[in-house]
Amino acid sequence: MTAITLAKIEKRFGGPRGVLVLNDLDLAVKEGESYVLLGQSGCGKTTTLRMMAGLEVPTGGEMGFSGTPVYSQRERLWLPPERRPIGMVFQSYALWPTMTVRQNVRFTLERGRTRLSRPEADTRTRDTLEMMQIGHLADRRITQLSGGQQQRVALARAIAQRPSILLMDEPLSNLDPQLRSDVRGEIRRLCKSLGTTAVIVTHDRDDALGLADRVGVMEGGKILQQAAPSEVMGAPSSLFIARLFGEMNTLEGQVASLKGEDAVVACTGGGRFSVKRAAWMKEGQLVVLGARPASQFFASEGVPGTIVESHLEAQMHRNKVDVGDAVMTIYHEGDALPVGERVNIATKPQGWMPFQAR
Amino acid sequence: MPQSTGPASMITARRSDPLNTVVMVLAITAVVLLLLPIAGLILSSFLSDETKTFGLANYQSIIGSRKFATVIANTAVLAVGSLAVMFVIAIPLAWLYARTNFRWRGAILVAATSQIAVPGFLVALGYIFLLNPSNGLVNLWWQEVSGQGALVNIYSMPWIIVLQGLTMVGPAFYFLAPAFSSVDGAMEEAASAHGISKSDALFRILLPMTAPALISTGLFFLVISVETFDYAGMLGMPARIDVIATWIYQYTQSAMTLPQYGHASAIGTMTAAVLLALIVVQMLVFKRSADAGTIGGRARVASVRLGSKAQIASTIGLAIYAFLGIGLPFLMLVWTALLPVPQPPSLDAISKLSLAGFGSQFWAELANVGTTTVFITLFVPTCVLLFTISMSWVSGRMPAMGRTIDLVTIVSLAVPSIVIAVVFNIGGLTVHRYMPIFGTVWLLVIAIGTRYVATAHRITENAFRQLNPEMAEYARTAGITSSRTLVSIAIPAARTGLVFAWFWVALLTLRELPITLIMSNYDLQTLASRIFLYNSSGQTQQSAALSLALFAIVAVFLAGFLYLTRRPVAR
Repeated sequence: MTAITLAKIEKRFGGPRGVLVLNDLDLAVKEGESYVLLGQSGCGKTTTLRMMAGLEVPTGGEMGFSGTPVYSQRERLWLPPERRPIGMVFQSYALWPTMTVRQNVRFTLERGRTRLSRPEADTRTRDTLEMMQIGHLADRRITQLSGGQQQRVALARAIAQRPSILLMDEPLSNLDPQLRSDVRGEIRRLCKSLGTTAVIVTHDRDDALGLADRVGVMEGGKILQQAAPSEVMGAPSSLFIARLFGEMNTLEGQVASLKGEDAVVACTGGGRFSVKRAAWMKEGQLVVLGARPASQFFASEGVPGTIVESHLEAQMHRNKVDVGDAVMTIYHEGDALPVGERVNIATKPQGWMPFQAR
Repeated sequence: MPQSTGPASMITARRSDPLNTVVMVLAITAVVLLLLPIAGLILSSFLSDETKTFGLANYQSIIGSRKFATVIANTAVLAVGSLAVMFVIAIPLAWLYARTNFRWRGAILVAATSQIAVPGFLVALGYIFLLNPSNGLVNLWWQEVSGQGALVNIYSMPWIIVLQGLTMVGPAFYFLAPAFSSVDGAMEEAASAHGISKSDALFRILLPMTAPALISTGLFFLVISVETFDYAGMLGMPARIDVIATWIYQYTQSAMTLPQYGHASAIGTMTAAVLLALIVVQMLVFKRSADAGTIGGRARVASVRLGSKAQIASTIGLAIYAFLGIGLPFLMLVWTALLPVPQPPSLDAISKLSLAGFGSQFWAELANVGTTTVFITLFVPTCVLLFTISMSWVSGRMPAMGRTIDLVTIVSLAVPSIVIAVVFNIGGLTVHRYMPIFGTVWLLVIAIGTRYVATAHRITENAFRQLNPEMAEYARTAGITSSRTLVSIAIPAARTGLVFAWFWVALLTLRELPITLIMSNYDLQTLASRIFLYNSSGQTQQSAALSLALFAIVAVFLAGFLYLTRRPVAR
């Protein structure tokens, strides 16, 4: 069953003639699914999440939770956040600093939509804190916690009411990389064990890949592609999405021939490359070929170029290679290469991905 | 002569900077001016009014007085009561302004700013014309209708508390709104997302989070309410409800005896000591407020969504506040100024409305006291600003001097207006043989200026603190003199804050009553003191007409203030 439905949702800021942030947004999140909205700053992902929470009111369209409408422009209906079955983790965590960890969670249970009695709230608080492995921090003030501990408290507060929908706005953005990786796994396990529908907003591709059952890539207030993380990563529908998931080396060219499942692209600077045929391809069409540096390497034959920069990055050397029409990034193990050295760049089979030129 | 275009080849001698010397002299003069009333107050409190010898006689006389306990109790009741009234109105207003999507948020700002500008004694006067037991409009109407005595008596402690508390709402709003605004909007959003009501979010989350600011504001206005003379003087004295401010006034303005400055100073010293203790507590609380920061990430602007009923209720509440705080007293002054004797609205009263109150006597008065008032209002803030700019600049460059200035300004804040007037009167009399300034506008200017140096210093200091210190540091490394940096870089950069300080002091000077009242004489009057004296002698029409003139002058200054401190339009 569908847990969250957005149909033709529109959002303008600044009145009827204001800035259009979301336009005709359609989205359906299944029950128990972890759905990640991925995109750059200003693409509308946080606005979408806040509209699901009821913290922003859409200016058009329909929205429903498990078949019950929570917003309808046609019926002039809008359910305030207090009455929606949600839990939410804010980017800043938004923990109440004058309360202890226990009070943050208990206050939500006692005075929030569950309205539990004090004994019930105490029990539920204890259980939730234990589940999040922060029971020992119950009497600490929020200001006495580390970033990771605060993140757990925010999550504990959000799940304590056992909401059917959990909304998270950049939940990992304030954590250092190591902790981020650990917490990512914990959030995923938690969502699955509770069976909660989760919508998570992030601009970080690793968060998206680690947390999502399905990723929706947003740009300019629209969802460009939504699919399982592996599919979005392996077969991005545009160069923009491909670049969102990592560095890309590109070459411009045009479709030289189409045969069966294959296509041959002739690049402007010379060289012909065989790629997987896409439905939109026509002979003579302008295309952009993209390849991840991980699928490219220096070889005795390939695209010729000149080293313009070479420096150590982590365990490998990162080289910038001028290939005439473009500058490519290639990693290699071993010593730094001298600037001006001539090299050839080879690409693994199916390493080049074709995209429509704009 | 050929000019060198290469790098400086040698370290030149130190450049002379005469303007910097002027700045230093101004800063030191300001500190001396601030110390004078403190020292004078303490000294004169020990000089017995009866025997003219040093000792504790004045203190013994005050503490042994039959009035002492009553005055302290009345002062405490007035201070705490008016504080309660202030918070009950100011907290919802600040919350509506800083935390909600209330559609009349801008109107709150205008109402609060206007209320600050309108002198408290004019509000008191408006209510006197409405509610005084002998000829207040409401009571006259009640007598006509019921044939009985007065329905309401404005000359009572509850009314003094309500009106003084109402007057403090405007300035308190300016303290509370920034404190509320500084809290991350996600705090209430988190509450809302978890089903917590708006009232719970306000009382259980926002107010505890801003508790240091609330306590600090409370303590500051406790000091203000103890030293405020306007309401206690105009409403309390006729009913013999004495508080500290009016007790000091009575010792200096007694019709039966010579002024007893020693007694007045003893009360002033004890009051200043208590107020200083409160200010120190306030500063400690203020220091602690830094601990209550928000947690993590970017802060969101708060926008608690009000339903349509809440919007309507809030609009009504704001309208009532604006009407009671400004509208009603203003209308009362207009009505009273147009009638020869006060009477309730009726066809008969309307037929008697005339501009007789604005006749030749009015214009003669305006030419006399109005000119003095405007002169003081332009001259005092200009001098005060020169002093405070110098103080702030010197503070930033000489930490030891900065600490001294801070200490002196804090102590001087604890000296009430009325006490400053007493001390400068004593000083003026003492030096009169050598420098005849007692009873002149110059002594009045010095006293009012001294009163507001500490207040203005806080504003200019904050304005200068906003500047990136690297601007001045760069100027120094480029060899630009300190005074040139001040004049060409710091002052233009801090312009908005300095304009704010100038207007703030100008508005405070316009509404200054206790100092002008104590230092005034037959030849030297301001609009404030003249209005007070006209009202005291029962000349209601003249009093109301001059009040409207003062309203008009306040409006001009307020318009200038709002215009010059408005936000620049984004391009």
